[in-house]
Amino acid sequence: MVKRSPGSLDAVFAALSDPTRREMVRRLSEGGASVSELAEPFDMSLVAAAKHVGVLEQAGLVSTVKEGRVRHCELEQRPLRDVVAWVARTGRFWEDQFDSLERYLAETAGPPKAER
Amino acid sequence: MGGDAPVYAPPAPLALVHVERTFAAPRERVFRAWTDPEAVSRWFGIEVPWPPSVEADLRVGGEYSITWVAPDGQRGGLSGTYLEVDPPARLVYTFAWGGMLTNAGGAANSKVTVEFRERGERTEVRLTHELLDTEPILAFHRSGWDTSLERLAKLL
Repeated sequence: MVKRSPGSLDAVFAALSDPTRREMVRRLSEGGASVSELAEPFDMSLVAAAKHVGVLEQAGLVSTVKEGRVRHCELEQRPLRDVVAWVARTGRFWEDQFDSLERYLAETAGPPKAER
Repeated sequence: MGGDAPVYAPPAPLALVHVERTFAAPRERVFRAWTDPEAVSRWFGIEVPWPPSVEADLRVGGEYSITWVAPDGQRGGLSGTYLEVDPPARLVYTFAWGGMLTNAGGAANSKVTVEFRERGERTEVRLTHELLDTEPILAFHRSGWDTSLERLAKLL
């Protein structure tokens, strides 16, 4: 069983309550990235992306190193990383499944009920 | 029954994900979409162009599997065991990726609880996916289904 202090896990889940940050964590679970690489999939300024990274850093999920003008980000702490990566991937997985179920239910709905 | 009875405690989750969504369909349809193998194969799973083969033995202790076979013959997918079956309101089942998709879900085995609530002609689905320790889940599977079931139902 992974030992953890309740406080730090609360900060982790607060940090992960935002879908953009969850996606950033999911991306970092595949390997390190710069802040601009993390900002890329979103229509977001570097400043906004850096703020999200700051929240993740505060929660101890991500560590960053400035190399010249580039801030490089890595997912922190191997055991927690696995759990965090699971949360990020699983949240995304179920959102996608619900989208797919919605389409399936719409496609198989059959003719609309006649008006009474 | 002689000897010391095995003690089983439900594992505390390492983490959990909770999602809710309301669907524009009556509860029976949504429940069936979730449990009928032919229906499941038409909407569930990863982004592949071919549907999975789905099997489901919808009863407590029954198993389900959702398997994709790649063109090169590699297999992978999901499988698990039903812990609670209460149609059309509630399902609880274990959830594990396997085969070529073992790393899709990362870490250990996990448990899914799905509740289907009627909202007129619509259905609210509430899903909780818990990441569990590996060891208790393996012990659970090893313990066998015969005499453990009744005790397990009380614990869960």
